[in-house]
Amino acid sequence: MADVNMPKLSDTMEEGTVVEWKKKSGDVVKKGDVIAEVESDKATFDLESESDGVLDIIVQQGVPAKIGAPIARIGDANAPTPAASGRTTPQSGEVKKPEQPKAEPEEEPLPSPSAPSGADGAPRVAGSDVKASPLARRLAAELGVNLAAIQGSGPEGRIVKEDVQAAAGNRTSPPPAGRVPPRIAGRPGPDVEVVEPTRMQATIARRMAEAKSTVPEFTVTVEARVDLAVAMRQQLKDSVPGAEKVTMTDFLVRACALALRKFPEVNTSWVDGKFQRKRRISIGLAVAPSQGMGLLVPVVHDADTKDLIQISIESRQVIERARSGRPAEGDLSGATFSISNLGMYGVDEFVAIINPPEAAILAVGAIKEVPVVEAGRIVAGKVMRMTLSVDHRVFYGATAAQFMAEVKRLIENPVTLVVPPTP
Amino acid sequence: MAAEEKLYRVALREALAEEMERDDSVYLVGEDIGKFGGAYRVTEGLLDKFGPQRVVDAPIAEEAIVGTAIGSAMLGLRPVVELMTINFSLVAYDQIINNAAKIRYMFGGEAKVPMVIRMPGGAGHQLSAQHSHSLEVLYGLIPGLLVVAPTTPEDAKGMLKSAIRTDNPVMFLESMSLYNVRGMVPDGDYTTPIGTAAVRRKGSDITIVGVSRMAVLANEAAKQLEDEDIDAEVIDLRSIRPIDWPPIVESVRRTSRCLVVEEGWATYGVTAEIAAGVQERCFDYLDAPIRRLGGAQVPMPYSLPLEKASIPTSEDIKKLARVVVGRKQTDG
Repeated sequence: MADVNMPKLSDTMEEGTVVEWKKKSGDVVKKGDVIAEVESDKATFDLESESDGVLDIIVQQGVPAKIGAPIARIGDANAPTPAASGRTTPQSGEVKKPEQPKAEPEEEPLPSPSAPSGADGAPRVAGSDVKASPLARRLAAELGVNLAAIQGSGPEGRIVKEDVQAAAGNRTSPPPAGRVPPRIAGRPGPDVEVVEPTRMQATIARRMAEAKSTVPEFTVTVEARVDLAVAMRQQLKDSVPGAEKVTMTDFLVRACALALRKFPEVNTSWVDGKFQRKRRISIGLAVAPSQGMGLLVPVVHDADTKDLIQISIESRQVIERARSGRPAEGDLSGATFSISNLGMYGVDEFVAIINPPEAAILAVGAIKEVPVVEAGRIVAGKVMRMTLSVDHRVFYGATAAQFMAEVKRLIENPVTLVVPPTP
Repeated sequence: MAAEEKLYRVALREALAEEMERDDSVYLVGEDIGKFGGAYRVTEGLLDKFGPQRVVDAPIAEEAIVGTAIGSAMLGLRPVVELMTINFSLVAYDQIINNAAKIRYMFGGEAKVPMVIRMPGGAGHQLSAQHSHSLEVLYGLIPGLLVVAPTTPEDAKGMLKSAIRTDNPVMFLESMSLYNVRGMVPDGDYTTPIGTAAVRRKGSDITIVGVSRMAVLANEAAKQLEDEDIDAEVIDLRSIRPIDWPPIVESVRRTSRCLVVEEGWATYGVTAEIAAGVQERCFDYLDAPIRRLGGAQVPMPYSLPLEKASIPTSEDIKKLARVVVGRKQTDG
């Protein structure tokens, strides 16, 4: 028997939900078979079986499970199949627990989760034989929760505190008696509709509040002339194979990667009172998911070692994978710096919230045609405003200003961005 | 209070010198502690300062050294014995157990043994099977002894002063790996009470209790576990006998989970005692089995890779902490 555990699919994932079991309990599965679709805080993933055998589903569709918690078991194909929800099925008669040995040899391993629960391998019987932590038992007694009706999420299926609290919270309480608030004529429904956030939205809420309450930030804004960059982008699209879809954001990824190399103090995190200098330069791109409200930050890894065309192709692929809800491993983690470009929505400029442990994020506004003064004459020019939000614990005003001056210099001299990267 | 960064060994030396200045009855005795300055340089310079009457170079005869110290303590002196390592204390075990720990009881309080035995323990220096012991438990077992194992320079100085001033025999366990550790030491005279644990780090997911140097590793592990969203509380046991239960109990009742770590063998170890005591005091608060981590159950190998594999590391602590908090199903 092997446990199938809720996998950890992203840095921030704490629990996941099986959106759909692709196989039923009792089905014979092979290693590599997709057995379920699992939703994390960021995306949906296919869960593959890691062994051959007969599937026994423990956690039903739609029920969240903490990472690491067993959600199914894969048993021996030759052994009699346990009932679908075997572990909590009450059975008649007593199932005897194996007798405890009188003295344990010192090196005896702890019972492993794959050890059979009964002497004859019979499924665990609910009730007196329920496996629950002492704390869970006490809480269950206090809250009047029936342990036999709960599925444990702890190691070896043990019922732990959170399971009892969840069960207590789920009990439907009778609607409070009393007067019903008067409704405004012509507008059916309550004044306020309570909407459950998606897992992604809940994570964003938590992370953003955390960032705003823990990161002392300041911002630096520059305006760059982008006439040359706009012209070069058109040239690339028209005449360079592979560059057909190069974007201004790709230019910025390349420019920031180069600037980050020059200013390693920007590519740094403040962790536990120490600076963590990151050797790799990986740039996260804040994008909206293809449907629903949310935020995804797919990552172009090692952007400083890639040329503009590579960045263009790779960022498009990683964004598509993220938006499809089926990112590859690493697509959504490991960024050391982020860029958020709202230029396509026509905003002039804005301030983005830092995504810790990154130390900075660049917020990019729209390219606008404005009158600019050039050698004493007013001419038409294209400008773009960029605002850097900075974790002041990590680096300071002068560095931020120099970093932004460098980004501005690179964008204003876009030939620097098509020079092949140095190793 | 003003403070200055100092080495663990220097903090110990300051405690000895300050106590010798404060109280004429305090004297030092041990092998190579005078002219040579101590095998680990703790007593360096003290012979010049206090003379051979109060810094006594002894022959290689631990039983005689400890016996002498016990006798002089019964007659009103306050000896501070240095045994070169805890391994050699086994030669003096009879004196320590049968005399030092029992005399005050057996004489109905009419005699007492205000003696401190300082000795480093621990492995990690390729000193092989006979010279790498962590024997906290051998002394923690004995009523009549006080046993402390400070892990910071501040505690080393403060606890040594407390040990010298107490009227009962104190086993003062140092660690070879901690002598060169730096840390802030408050200026002026202060003591750290025997019988107190120190909460090194607050946390909400798991309580990790570390014994001696393992408290330092537990702290490192806890810092790294932050990246995995595991918020560990770390308690430095610091006093092995008596055990300071209130902070441990308060912590485990809050975190519902407990891991105990020592460098020595966990079977019948200090960790066993802590785990049992936590279970008695926190049973209805536990959300997971208490786990213990100790050194490999072998005489310490001489081979460097094997020795490393035999001593718990911060990685080992992290691994087991993940199991206790339910992030990982098995020990594998």
